[in-house]
Amino acid sequence: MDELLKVLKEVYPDVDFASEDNLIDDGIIDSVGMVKIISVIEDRFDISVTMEYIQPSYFQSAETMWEMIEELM
Amino acid sequence: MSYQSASFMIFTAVSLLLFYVVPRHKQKYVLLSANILFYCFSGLKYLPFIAVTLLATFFAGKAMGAVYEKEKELLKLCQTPAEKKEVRAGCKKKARGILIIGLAVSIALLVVCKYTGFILTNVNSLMSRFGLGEITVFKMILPLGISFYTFMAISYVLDIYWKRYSAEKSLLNYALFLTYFPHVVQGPIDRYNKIKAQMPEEGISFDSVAVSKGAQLALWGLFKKLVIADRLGIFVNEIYGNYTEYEGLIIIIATVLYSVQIYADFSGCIDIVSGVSEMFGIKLAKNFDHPYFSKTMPEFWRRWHISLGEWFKDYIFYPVSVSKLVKKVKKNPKSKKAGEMFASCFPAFVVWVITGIWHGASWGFVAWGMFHAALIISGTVFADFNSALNSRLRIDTESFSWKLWQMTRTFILCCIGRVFFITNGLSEAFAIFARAFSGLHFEYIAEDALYDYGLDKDNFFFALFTIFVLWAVDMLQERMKIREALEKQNIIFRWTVIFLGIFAVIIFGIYGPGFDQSSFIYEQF
Repeated sequence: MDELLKVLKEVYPDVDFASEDNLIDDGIIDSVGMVKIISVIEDRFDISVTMEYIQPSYFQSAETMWEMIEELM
Repeated sequence: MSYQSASFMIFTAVSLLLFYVVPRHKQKYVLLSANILFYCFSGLKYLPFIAVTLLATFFAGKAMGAVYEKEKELLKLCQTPAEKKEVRAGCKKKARGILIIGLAVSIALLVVCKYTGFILTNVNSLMSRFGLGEITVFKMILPLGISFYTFMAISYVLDIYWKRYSAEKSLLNYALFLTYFPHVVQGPIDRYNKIKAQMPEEGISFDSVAVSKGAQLALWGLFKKLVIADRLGIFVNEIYGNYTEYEGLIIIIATVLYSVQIYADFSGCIDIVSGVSEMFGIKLAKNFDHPYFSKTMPEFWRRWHISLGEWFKDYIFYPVSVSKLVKKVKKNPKSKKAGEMFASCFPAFVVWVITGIWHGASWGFVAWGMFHAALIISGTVFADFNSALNSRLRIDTESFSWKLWQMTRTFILCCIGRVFFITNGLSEAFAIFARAFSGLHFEYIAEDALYDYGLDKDNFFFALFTIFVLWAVDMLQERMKIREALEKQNIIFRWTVIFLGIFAVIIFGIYGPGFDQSSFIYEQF
């Protein structure tokens, strides 16, 4: 999880990923941002994020993203 | 049966009455009968097309559901991760085969019905360059709402394939969704799971507040369509229909008014159908969020025809963004920056070319899509440069004046794009640009000339007043929920407002001779 927070901070330095839990619905991350996050997650964790996981519910918070990563690892 | 016609109001009233009178577990049958009847009113010849798409995607979904059920059973028997991987891969392959059949049938019908004439014309043009013969160009019939219901059907099978929800087992439930008469003609492009969640097996109980609020929304939609859009349409049609007779500012005025007309027309239709649907207890997807208050083009497209934008995002943008091709180019060892730029721009380019083609079979629509692709991609490419420039020029990007400039700029860009949208082909669009910027030509907007374009002085100023009303209501909606606020008022005030709305539609609506009541702009798509 710490590694994920570090990665996310590189993409969005101004967002507090530890506390935000509505990233998509609140418009903090848009579709382009989601693709950027997918790309860095894939590189850092050596996984392939499939279309089953590319939906807002998996990207609302660092926690939901971590759940997705664990499922894909 | 057009959504703004008297026959549609009677049809809705009768359907509503039957819907709430019958036992709740029978409501689905009333609604499905209403859906089929509504579609048949538009022409029996269209029925086989929607039926084929309906059956192909329903059975594709059902077959994929069965494959995934089997997958669950097989996974329970697996001992090692390797075995599980093998089972998953095998099931995915089977599901992919079924998905392709479902998609191929629905997309083929859309392409054949909508694009045959366009494809043959372009094939002929190509063949003539090589001195080859000509193919007879013919156009297929265009089934009502084919672009909209096909996209809803595609989203259903893809969602099943991606395991976003379970396949529907009942053909009745799926037919209710796909043929639902409020959204079948012009959208919104709803998602199956969202509509299904609002159609419980035990039925929907009567809610007088929901019916009242739905009727208010439909009334506001009628006002936008009949009072604003159709009034502006008279002026716009005169100028654009005879554009070779006009030059200068008058064309620019007509283009601006067309932008307002198309907004009042399409959002008016969506308000009517959303209101009608709310009366049945079902909320349709949001399609508009005051788009002309947008400060950038990407924001505009998040606020205009939202359900189409969401569809393209989920089913084109994301799959292309994570495709093998994009990933491969992105990791180009020769130029990382070029690879990243490609990964940012290529998916948007694909989305916009398809968006253009979706709107219509002409190069004008393709050009319109490319125009928006260029705007959105340049916004991405120059984002850092623009931000640096603003800081260097010490522009306060949070100030009202800057935001006003951004909104004006976005509106102007939309108006330029509209020229490709309204004209028949590229050459006409460029001819209009040439005439619009050939000079000011004040003679066409002199007072005695201005009222000769279909709207007399009273109607012209009334049209401007209704645009102000539209803007004022949009401003209010940005700040509050008007219908909720109205619901809290006393009954006399509430009904006064409603009656004023009804009278405004009856008295100020455009119903003159020669008026084609079936012509919603987006109905042709």
